[in-house]
Amino acid sequence: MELTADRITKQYKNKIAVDRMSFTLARGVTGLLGANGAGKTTLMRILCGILVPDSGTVTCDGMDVETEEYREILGYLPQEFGYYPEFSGRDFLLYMSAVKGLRKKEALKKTEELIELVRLKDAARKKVRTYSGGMKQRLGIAQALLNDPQILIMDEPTAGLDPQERIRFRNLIAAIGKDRIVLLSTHIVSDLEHIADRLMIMKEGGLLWQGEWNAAAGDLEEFYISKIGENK
Amino acid sequence: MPATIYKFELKKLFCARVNIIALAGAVLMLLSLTLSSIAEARPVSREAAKELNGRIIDGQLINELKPVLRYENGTTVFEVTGGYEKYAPVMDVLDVMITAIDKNIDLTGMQGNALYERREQELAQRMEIQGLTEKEKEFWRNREDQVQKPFVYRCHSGPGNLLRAFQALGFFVLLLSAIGLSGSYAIETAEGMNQLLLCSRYGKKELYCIKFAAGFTWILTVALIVFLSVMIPYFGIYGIEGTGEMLQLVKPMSMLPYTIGHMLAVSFGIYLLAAVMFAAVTMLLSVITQNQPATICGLMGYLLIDLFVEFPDRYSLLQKIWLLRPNAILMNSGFSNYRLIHLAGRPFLNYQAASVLYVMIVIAALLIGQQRYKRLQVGK
Repeated sequence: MELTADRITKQYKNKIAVDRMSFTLARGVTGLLGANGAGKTTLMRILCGILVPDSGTVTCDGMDVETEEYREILGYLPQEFGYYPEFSGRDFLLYMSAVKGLRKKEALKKTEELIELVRLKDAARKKVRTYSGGMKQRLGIAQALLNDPQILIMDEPTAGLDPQERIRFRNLIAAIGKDRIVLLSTHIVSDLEHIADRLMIMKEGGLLWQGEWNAAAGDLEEFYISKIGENK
Repeated sequence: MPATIYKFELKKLFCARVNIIALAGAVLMLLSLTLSSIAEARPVSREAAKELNGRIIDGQLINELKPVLRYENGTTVFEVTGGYEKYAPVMDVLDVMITAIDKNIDLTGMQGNALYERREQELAQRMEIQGLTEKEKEFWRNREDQVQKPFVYRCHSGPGNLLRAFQALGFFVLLLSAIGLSGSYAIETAEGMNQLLLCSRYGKKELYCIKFAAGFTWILTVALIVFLSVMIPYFGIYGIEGTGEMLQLVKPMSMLPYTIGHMLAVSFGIYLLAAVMFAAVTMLLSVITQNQPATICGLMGYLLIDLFVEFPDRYSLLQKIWLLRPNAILMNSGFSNYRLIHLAGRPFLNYQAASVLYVMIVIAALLIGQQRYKRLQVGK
């Protein structure tokens, strides 16, 4: 399975958020790095089919990102999003399961599994509005995994998590990435260092660098800074 | 899965604090308005009303009442005192008749069936001012011929008051629709939930329709609760007696040979249809604006225009269209405006044409909203 972006461009008024980007994502974890405003979120939204590029195409094995089939195999965790205040954590996951097309029995099973996985069992019946930032983030991660996605796109998934949880989720993402396409953006370079198979570095809407990443090759933070510096 | 989504969409609407508070407020307000109107009504004993049951409202009755009638400042005043208290129910009907026909009528000098002759003149004059064709006048004359005259008094306080309450009910339903459904599609954008929904399998097509269905369920439930909060006190205190009596006891200027019950059923149907239409328009605005305050402002703007704008008789077409709005229909303005709507060569009454129009608006809102929803993007 391959997710292919071909010369995608998105412009907001006089700012080019994504500039003629072309790449192919294969199975494994791809890290997306870039400063604030580099266009990472815009790129991820385009890959999810929730933002239409001004030009260029995104396809998955020839399947357009706007199709129901594509959405069926997609999991997305946005950087920031709200929750329905009247829903408990379990309600929220059951609702998202239904919207993602899971059958009732399957939805119940998957919801319980993920509640356990993200360690929200004690809080599952509580209203989401009472959750802390970290709990909400874990709930967000759980919803992204509900439909067992073949393509997982996560925008800052470890933001708000405590160090212990971050390590746990890093490992979880690495495990998921073994047989799926995972794209994750983060500010915390160390989150990618040990799990990314590939890296994409964005700057001002353009793809500054892309390639395989080997943890043994050295320090990722230094590598990232050097790439950003080279471009200056 | 759509059933589960529908269940959760209902939960969003029925469990939202703002919706519960708004509905409770509306019910309390209507209950207090209804109970205060009952308390303020002339103290009529049921016995007196029963005694007058079947009494013909004619010159003889007016002569009997003359000792307690006064003509002051261009209005006939009824003084319900002493032995005349037993006439209070029929005085109420006479009061309604004078107000509807011409509030300057001097009842103290009326003889025989002069009141009905005055009504007939007024009807003819209104039809003339409204520019009705001969065919339309004929249409009304045929119906008017079937209306029994002189009118006969029958107890009708329960259904009569309920019929008059529909305009207020329509107002509350519009308000509740604006509060409850303006966020249906907009809140997801404000909260960023649309990022999750629009990239989910059922989030682009099915969810749109399910949200609409949940919105309709909610507004119909709310409309029923609001209706019951008025119906129960009126029927509980006055009873349902009078449902089968002539409409003219409540709407003296109507030329329709219908009963109060008939018009209650019609008003109830229009009321529910209007509720569904308000819901559809609210949800359409919610999809288009993706902004809850903007949707509420749009609906409140309509409400103000609805309350204060009237088109004079010379703007015939505009007036015809304007009189099809729910507020006008529920106010029973068809009883003082006799313009007919011609569709496929057949004349239709205002409320008949309005129901067709409301269904068309609902379908149009659904289709336009669907097109807009399909094109929704995040962070555009």
